Amino acid sequence: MGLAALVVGVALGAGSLWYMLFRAAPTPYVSVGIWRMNPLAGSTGNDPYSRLRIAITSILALNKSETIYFEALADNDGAPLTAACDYTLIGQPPAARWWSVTAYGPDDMLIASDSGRYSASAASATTLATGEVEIALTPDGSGPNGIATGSGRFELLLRLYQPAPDLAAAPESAPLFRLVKGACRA
Amino acid sequence: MKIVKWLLAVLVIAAVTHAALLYFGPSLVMNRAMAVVAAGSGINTMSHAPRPTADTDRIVRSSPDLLYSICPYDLGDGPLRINAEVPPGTYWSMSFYDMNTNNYRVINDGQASAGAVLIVLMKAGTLGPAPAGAELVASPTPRGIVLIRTLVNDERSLQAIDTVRRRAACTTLQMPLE
Repeated sequence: MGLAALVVGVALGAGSLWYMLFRAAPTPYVSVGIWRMNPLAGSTGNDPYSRLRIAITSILALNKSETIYFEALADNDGAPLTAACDYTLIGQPPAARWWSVTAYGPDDMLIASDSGRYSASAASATTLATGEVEIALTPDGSGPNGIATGSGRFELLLRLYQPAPDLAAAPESAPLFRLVKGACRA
Repeated sequence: MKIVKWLLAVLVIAAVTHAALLYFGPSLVMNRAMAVVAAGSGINTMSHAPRPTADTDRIVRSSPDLLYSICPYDLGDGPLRINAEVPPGTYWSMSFYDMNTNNYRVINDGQASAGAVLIVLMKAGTLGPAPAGAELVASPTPRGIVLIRTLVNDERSLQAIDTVRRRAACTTLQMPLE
Protein backbone atom coordinates (compact mmCIF):
# COMPACT_ATOMS: atom_id res chain seq x y z
CA MET A 1 0.00 0.00 0.00
CA GLY A 2 2.80 2.44 0.98
CA LEU A 3 4.97 1.44 -1.94
CA ALA A 4 2.05 1.81 -4.31
CA ALA A 5 1.40 5.35 -3.01
CA LEU A 6 5.06 6.18 -3.53
CA VAL A 7 5.12 4.86 -7.10
CA VAL A 8 1.85 6.52 -8.07
CA GLY A 9 2.83 9.78 -6.36
CA VAL A 10 6.24 9.99 -8.07
CA ALA A 11 4.67 9.15 -11.43
CA LEU A 12 1.98 11.76 -10.91
CA GLY A 13 4.52 14.40 -9.87
CA ALA A 14 6.84 13.72 -12.80
CA GLY A 15 3.95 13.46 -15.24
CA SER A 16 2.36 16.71 -14.12
CA LEU A 17 5.73 18.46 -14.47
CA TRP A 18 6.17 17.12 -18.00
CA TYR A 19 2.62 18.31 -18.81
CA MET A 20 3.35 21.79 -17.44
CA LEU A 21 6.63 22.01 -19.38
CA PHE A 22 5.62 20.71 -22.74
CA ARG A 23 1.82 20.82 -22.97
CA ALA A 24 0.26 23.47 -20.74
CA ALA A 25 2.84 26.11 -21.70
CA PRO A 26 4.86 24.77 -24.62
CA THR A 27 8.09 26.45 -25.72
CA PRO A 28 7.09 29.75 -27.41
CA TYR A 29 8.80 29.01 -30.72
CA VAL A 30 9.19 31.70 -33.39
CA SER A 31 8.47 30.11 -36.79
CA VAL A 32 9.81 31.08 -40.23
CA GLY A 33 8.81 28.58 -42.94
CA ILE A 34 10.18 25.18 -41.95
CA TRP A 35 12.40 26.78 -39.31
CA ARG A 36 11.59 27.44 -35.69
CA MET A 37 13.59 29.23 -33.06
CA ASN A 38 13.40 28.96 -29.30
CA PRO A 39 13.64 32.57 -28.09
CA LEU A 40 14.49 31.29 -24.62
CA ALA A 41 17.71 29.58 -25.76
CA GLY A 42 20.71 30.97 -23.91
CA SER A 43 18.55 33.27 -21.84
CA THR A 44 18.02 33.43 -18.11
CA GLY A 45 14.56 32.05 -17.45
CA ASN A 46 12.40 34.28 -15.30
CA ASP A 47 10.37 31.49 -13.73
CA PRO A 48 11.21 27.93 -12.62
CA TYR A 49 9.35 26.31 -15.52
CA SER A 50 11.22 28.45 -18.08
CA ARG A 51 14.53 27.66 -16.42
CA LEU A 52 13.93 23.90 -16.56
CA ARG A 53 12.64 24.11 -20.13
CA ILE A 54 15.82 25.96 -21.19
CA ALA A 55 18.01 23.39 -19.41
CA ILE A 56 16.31 20.51 -21.19
CA THR A 57 16.00 22.01 -24.66
CA SER A 58 19.06 24.19 -25.11
CA ILE A 59 21.85 23.50 -22.64
CA LEU A 60 25.10 25.40 -23.32
CA ALA A 61 23.43 27.55 -25.99
CA LEU A 62 24.62 31.11 -26.52
CA ASN A 63 22.32 34.03 -25.91
CA LYS A 64 20.32 35.59 -28.73
CA SER A 65 22.55 38.58 -29.38
CA GLU A 66 25.55 36.29 -29.90
CA THR A 67 23.94 33.44 -31.83
CA ILE A 68 20.47 32.58 -33.06
CA TYR A 69 19.61 28.93 -33.60
CA PHE A 70 16.82 27.85 -35.97
CA GLU A 71 15.90 24.18 -36.15
CA ALA A 72 13.86 22.27 -38.73
CA LEU A 73 12.34 18.88 -38.00
CA ALA A 74 9.73 18.67 -40.76
CA ASP A 75 9.15 19.66 -44.38
CA ASN A 76 6.70 22.28 -45.68
CA ASP A 77 3.78 19.86 -45.22
CA GLY A 78 4.74 18.93 -41.69
CA ALA A 79 6.14 15.51 -42.59
CA PRO A 80 9.31 14.58 -40.66
CA LEU A 81 12.55 15.10 -42.57
CA THR A 82 13.81 11.73 -43.73
CA ALA A 83 16.80 10.43 -45.66
CA ALA A 84 14.29 8.47 -47.76
CA CYS A 85 13.75 11.75 -49.63
CA ASP A 86 16.16 14.25 -51.19
CA TYR A 87 15.73 17.94 -50.43
CA THR A 88 17.32 21.22 -51.40
CA LEU A 89 17.66 24.32 -49.28
CA ILE A 90 17.82 27.51 -51.31
CA GLY A 91 17.94 31.20 -50.48
CA GLN A 92 20.06 34.25 -49.87
CA PRO A 93 22.77 33.81 -47.23
CA PRO A 94 21.34 34.88 -43.85
CA ALA A 95 22.31 38.29 -42.50
CA ALA A 96 24.90 37.30 -39.93
CA ARG A 97 28.66 37.42 -39.49
CA TRP A 98 28.72 33.68 -40.10
CA TRP A 99 26.11 30.96 -40.69
CA SER A 100 26.00 27.18 -40.95
CA VAL A 101 23.44 24.44 -41.56
CA THR A 102 24.13 21.10 -39.85
CA ALA A 103 22.20 17.81 -40.00
CA TYR A 104 21.70 15.69 -36.87
CA GLY A 105 20.11 12.31 -36.30
CA PRO A 106 17.07 11.84 -34.05
CA ASP A 107 19.52 11.54 -31.12
CA ASP A 108 20.82 15.07 -31.89
CA MET A 109 24.26 13.67 -32.76
CA LEU A 110 26.16 14.17 -36.03
CA ILE A 111 25.23 11.70 -38.77
CA ALA A 112 27.97 9.24 -39.77
CA SER A 113 28.78 9.10 -43.46
CA ASP A 114 31.74 8.21 -45.69
CA SER A 115 31.78 11.75 -47.06
CA GLY A 116 31.93 13.41 -43.63
CA ARG A 117 29.70 16.17 -44.97
CA TYR A 118 28.05 17.26 -41.74
CA SER A 119 27.35 20.89 -42.62
CA ALA A 120 27.38 23.70 -45.14
CA SER A 121 28.46 27.13 -44.05
CA ALA A 122 29.36 30.65 -45.05
CA ALA A 123 32.93 29.44 -45.38
CA SER A 124 32.31 26.31 -47.42
CA ALA A 125 29.22 26.98 -49.53
CA THR A 126 29.48 28.21 -53.09
CA THR A 127 27.04 30.88 -54.24
CA LEU A 128 24.92 30.94 -57.41
CA ALA A 129 25.06 33.83 -59.88
CA THR A 130 21.85 35.11 -58.27
CA GLY A 131 23.64 35.43 -54.95
CA GLU A 132 21.60 32.57 -53.55
CA VAL A 133 23.01 29.46 -51.92
CA GLU A 134 21.78 25.97 -52.80
CA ILE A 135 22.35 23.16 -50.32
CA ALA A 136 21.61 19.54 -51.25
CA LEU A 137 20.33 17.25 -48.48
CA THR A 138 21.01 13.70 -49.63
CA PRO A 139 21.86 10.42 -47.85
CA ASP A 140 25.55 10.55 -48.87
CA GLY A 141 25.95 14.32 -49.05
CA SER A 142 26.23 14.39 -52.84
CA GLY A 143 25.05 17.46 -54.72
CA PRO A 144 25.88 21.16 -54.49
CA ASN A 145 27.11 22.12 -51.01
CA GLY A 146 25.75 18.71 -49.98
CA ILE A 147 25.02 17.58 -46.44
CA ALA A 148 24.72 13.85 -45.66
CA THR A 149 21.39 12.88 -44.11
CA GLY A 150 22.19 9.19 -43.43
CA SER A 151 19.50 6.56 -43.43
CA GLY A 152 16.63 7.60 -41.20
CA ARG A 153 14.98 10.68 -39.81
CA PHE A 154 17.09 13.78 -39.40
CA GLU A 155 16.93 17.35 -38.16
CA LEU A 156 18.57 20.55 -39.34
CA LEU A 157 20.11 23.29 -37.25
CA LEU A 158 20.79 26.72 -38.76
CA ARG A 159 23.28 28.75 -36.72
CA LEU A 160 23.54 32.50 -37.21
CA TYR A 161 26.61 33.87 -35.42
CA GLN A 162 26.39 37.54 -34.51
CA PRO A 163 23.21 38.10 -36.50
CA ALA A 164 22.46 41.50 -38.01
CA PRO A 165 20.67 43.71 -35.45
CA ASP A 166 17.46 43.78 -37.54
CA LEU A 167 17.40 39.99 -37.66
CA ALA A 168 18.09 39.64 -33.95
CA ALA A 169 15.31 42.12 -33.15
CA ALA A 170 12.72 40.43 -35.38
CA PRO A 171 13.75 36.82 -36.10
CA GLU A 172 10.18 36.08 -37.19
CA SER A 173 10.80 38.24 -40.29
CA ALA A 174 14.18 36.74 -41.17
CA PRO A 175 14.53 35.61 -44.80
CA LEU A 176 15.82 32.07 -44.34
CA PHE A 177 16.57 29.15 -46.65
CA ARG A 178 13.47 27.62 -48.26
CA LEU A 179 13.08 23.82 -48.49
CA VAL A 180 12.33 22.15 -51.81
CA LYS A 181 11.44 18.48 -51.60
CA GLY A 182 12.85 16.20 -54.29
CA ALA A 183 12.47 12.53 -55.09
CA CYS A 184 11.60 9.99 -52.42
CA ARG A 185 12.60 6.34 -52.38
CA ALA A 186 10.38 3.50 -51.28
CA MET B 1 -11.01 6.30 5.51
CA LYS B 2 -7.98 4.29 4.45
CA ILE B 3 -8.46 5.27 0.83
CA VAL B 4 -8.62 8.97 1.76
CA LYS B 5 -5.30 8.69 3.61
CA TRP B 6 -3.82 6.84 0.66
CA LEU B 7 -4.98 9.51 -1.76
CA LEU B 8 -3.61 12.24 0.48
CA ALA B 9 -0.25 10.46 0.63
CA VAL B 10 -0.19 10.19 -3.17
CA LEU B 11 -0.96 13.90 -3.55
CA VAL B 12 1.75 14.92 -1.10
CA ILE B 13 4.35 12.67 -2.78
CA ALA B 14 3.29 14.00 -6.20
CA ALA B 15 3.61 17.61 -5.06
CA VAL B 16 7.05 17.00 -3.51
CA THR B 17 8.26 15.16 -6.63
CA HIS B 18 6.96 17.91 -8.90
CA ALA B 19 8.59 20.67 -6.83
CA ALA B 20 11.89 18.81 -6.36
CA LEU B 21 12.30 18.05 -10.07
CA LEU B 22 11.33 21.61 -10.94
CA TYR B 23 13.79 23.13 -8.50
CA PHE B 24 16.70 20.74 -8.93
CA GLY B 25 16.09 19.82 -12.61
CA PRO B 26 18.42 22.44 -14.18
CA SER B 27 21.30 21.52 -11.88
CA LEU B 28 20.70 17.80 -12.54
CA VAL B 29 20.96 18.51 -16.28
CA MET B 30 24.10 20.60 -15.70
CA ASN B 31 25.63 17.95 -13.42
CA ARG B 32 25.16 15.43 -16.18
CA ALA B 33 26.86 17.75 -18.70
CA MET B 34 29.73 18.43 -16.27
CA ALA B 35 30.21 14.71 -15.65
CA VAL B 36 30.49 14.11 -19.40
CA VAL B 37 33.04 16.86 -20.02
CA ALA B 38 35.00 16.25 -16.80
CA ALA B 39 35.32 12.51 -17.48
CA GLY B 40 38.45 13.06 -19.54
CA SER B 41 40.35 15.83 -17.79
CA GLY B 42 38.69 16.62 -14.47
CA ILE B 43 37.46 19.81 -12.82
CA ASN B 44 39.21 23.21 -13.07
CA THR B 45 41.13 22.07 -16.13
CA MET B 46 40.65 23.25 -19.69
CA SER B 47 40.25 20.39 -22.13
CA HIS B 48 40.45 20.92 -25.86
CA ALA B 49 38.04 18.60 -27.58
CA PRO B 50 38.92 17.32 -31.03
CA ARG B 51 36.89 18.75 -33.87
CA PRO B 52 33.42 17.17 -33.63
CA THR B 53 32.73 14.30 -36.01
CA ALA B 54 30.23 11.47 -35.84
CA ASP B 55 32.95 9.45 -34.08
CA THR B 56 34.03 12.05 -31.49
CA ASP B 57 30.69 13.80 -30.80
CA ARG B 58 29.91 13.80 -27.04
CA ILE B 59 27.52 16.71 -26.56
CA VAL B 60 24.21 16.97 -28.41
CA ARG B 61 24.14 19.28 -31.41
CA SER B 62 27.86 20.00 -31.48
CA SER B 63 28.93 22.06 -34.49
CA PRO B 64 31.45 20.38 -36.81
CA ASP B 65 32.64 23.87 -37.77
CA LEU B 66 33.67 24.84 -34.25
CA LEU B 67 36.52 23.79 -31.98
CA TYR B 68 35.35 23.50 -28.38
CA SER B 69 37.55 24.05 -25.33
CA ILE B 70 35.79 23.52 -22.03
CA CYS B 71 36.55 24.03 -18.36
CA PRO B 72 34.06 22.61 -15.84
CA TYR B 73 34.74 24.59 -12.68
CA ASP B 74 34.30 24.40 -8.93
CA LEU B 75 35.21 27.56 -7.03
CA GLY B 76 35.17 25.73 -3.69
CA ASP B 77 38.98 25.83 -3.51
CA GLY B 78 39.25 29.47 -4.57
CA PRO B 79 38.94 31.65 -7.65
CA LEU B 80 39.83 30.41 -11.10
CA ARG B 81 42.33 31.99 -13.46
CA ILE B 82 41.28 31.63 -17.10
CA ASN B 83 43.58 32.77 -19.84
CA ALA B 84 43.12 32.42 -23.58
CA GLU B 85 44.50 33.69 -26.83
CA VAL B 86 42.11 34.74 -29.58
CA PRO B 87 42.96 33.38 -33.03
CA PRO B 88 42.97 36.27 -35.49
CA GLY B 89 40.45 36.58 -38.29
CA THR B 90 37.77 34.23 -37.08
CA TYR B 91 34.85 34.07 -34.65
CA TRP B 92 35.79 33.21 -31.07
CA SER B 93 33.84 33.41 -27.84
CA MET B 94 34.20 32.46 -24.20
CA SER B 95 30.84 31.80 -22.53
CA PHE B 96 30.07 31.21 -18.87
CA TYR B 97 27.25 28.96 -17.61
CA ASP B 98 26.08 28.57 -14.02
CA MET B 99 24.57 25.42 -12.49
CA ASN B 100 21.09 26.57 -13.51
CA THR B 101 22.37 26.41 -17.14
CA ASN B 102 22.13 30.21 -17.44
CA ASN B 103 24.60 31.78 -19.91
CA TYR B 104 25.52 34.62 -17.58
CA ARG B 105 28.41 36.10 -19.54
CA VAL B 106 29.90 36.00 -23.05
CA ILE B 107 33.16 37.55 -24.23
CA ASN B 108 33.74 37.42 -28.00
CA ASP B 109 36.69 38.16 -30.26
CA GLY B 110 35.42 41.68 -30.94
CA GLN B 111 35.52 42.46 -27.21
CA ALA B 112 38.92 40.82 -26.72
CA SER B 113 40.64 43.57 -28.67
CA ALA B 114 44.12 42.79 -27.32
CA GLY B 115 43.98 39.32 -28.84
CA ALA B 116 44.05 37.67 -25.44
CA VAL B 117 41.77 37.31 -22.43
CA LEU B 118 42.65 37.01 -18.75
CA ILE B 119 39.76 36.36 -16.39
CA VAL B 120 39.57 35.76 -12.66
CA LEU B 121 36.35 33.90 -11.97
CA MET B 122 35.02 34.23 -8.41
CA LYS B 123 31.88 33.35 -6.52
CA ALA B 124 29.32 36.14 -6.57
CA GLY B 125 29.64 38.22 -3.43
CA THR B 126 33.35 37.51 -2.96
CA LEU B 127 34.71 39.93 -5.55
CA GLY B 128 37.89 41.71 -4.57
CA PRO B 129 40.32 43.87 -6.52
CA ALA B 130 41.26 42.38 -9.88
CA PRO B 131 44.90 41.32 -10.31
CA ALA B 132 46.77 43.49 -12.82
CA GLY B 133 45.52 42.93 -16.34
CA ALA B 134 42.69 40.63 -15.36
CA GLU B 135 38.95 41.08 -15.55
CA LEU B 136 36.83 39.82 -12.67
CA VAL B 137 33.77 37.75 -13.49
CA ALA B 138 31.27 36.72 -10.81
CA SER B 139 29.76 33.25 -11.02
CA PRO B 140 26.19 33.13 -9.64
CA THR B 141 26.80 29.54 -8.46
CA PRO B 142 30.04 27.99 -7.10
CA ARG B 143 30.15 25.48 -9.95
CA GLY B 144 29.57 25.80 -13.68
CA ILE B 145 31.14 25.55 -17.12
CA VAL B 146 33.32 27.86 -19.21
CA LEU B 147 33.03 27.03 -22.90
CA ILE B 148 35.26 28.47 -25.63
CA ARG B 149 34.06 28.26 -29.23
CA THR B 150 36.54 28.83 -32.05
CA LEU B 151 35.26 28.86 -35.60
CA VAL B 152 37.18 27.08 -38.35
CA ASN B 153 36.32 29.60 -41.05
CA ASP B 154 39.01 28.38 -43.42
CA GLU B 155 40.10 24.74 -43.62
CA ARG B 156 43.60 25.84 -44.64
CA SER B 157 43.94 27.68 -41.32
CA LEU B 158 42.73 24.78 -39.19
CA GLN B 159 46.16 23.90 -37.80
CA ALA B 160 47.03 27.51 -36.94
CA ILE B 161 43.62 28.14 -35.31
CA ASP B 162 43.84 24.89 -33.36
CA THR B 163 47.33 25.70 -32.09
CA VAL B 164 46.25 29.10 -30.76
CA ARG B 165 43.03 27.92 -29.12
CA ARG B 166 44.91 25.12 -27.30
CA ARG B 167 46.83 27.78 -25.36
CA ALA B 168 43.70 28.48 -23.30
CA ALA B 169 43.93 27.23 -19.70
CA CYS B 170 42.11 27.44 -16.38
CA THR B 171 43.81 26.97 -13.00
CA THR B 172 42.82 27.46 -9.37
CA LEU B 173 44.28 30.59 -7.76
CA GLN B 174 45.36 30.75 -4.14
CA MET B 175 44.13 33.56 -1.88
CA PRO B 176 45.21 36.25 -1.57
CA LEU B 177 45.12 36.56 -5.32
CA GLU B 178 48.43 35.87 -6.98
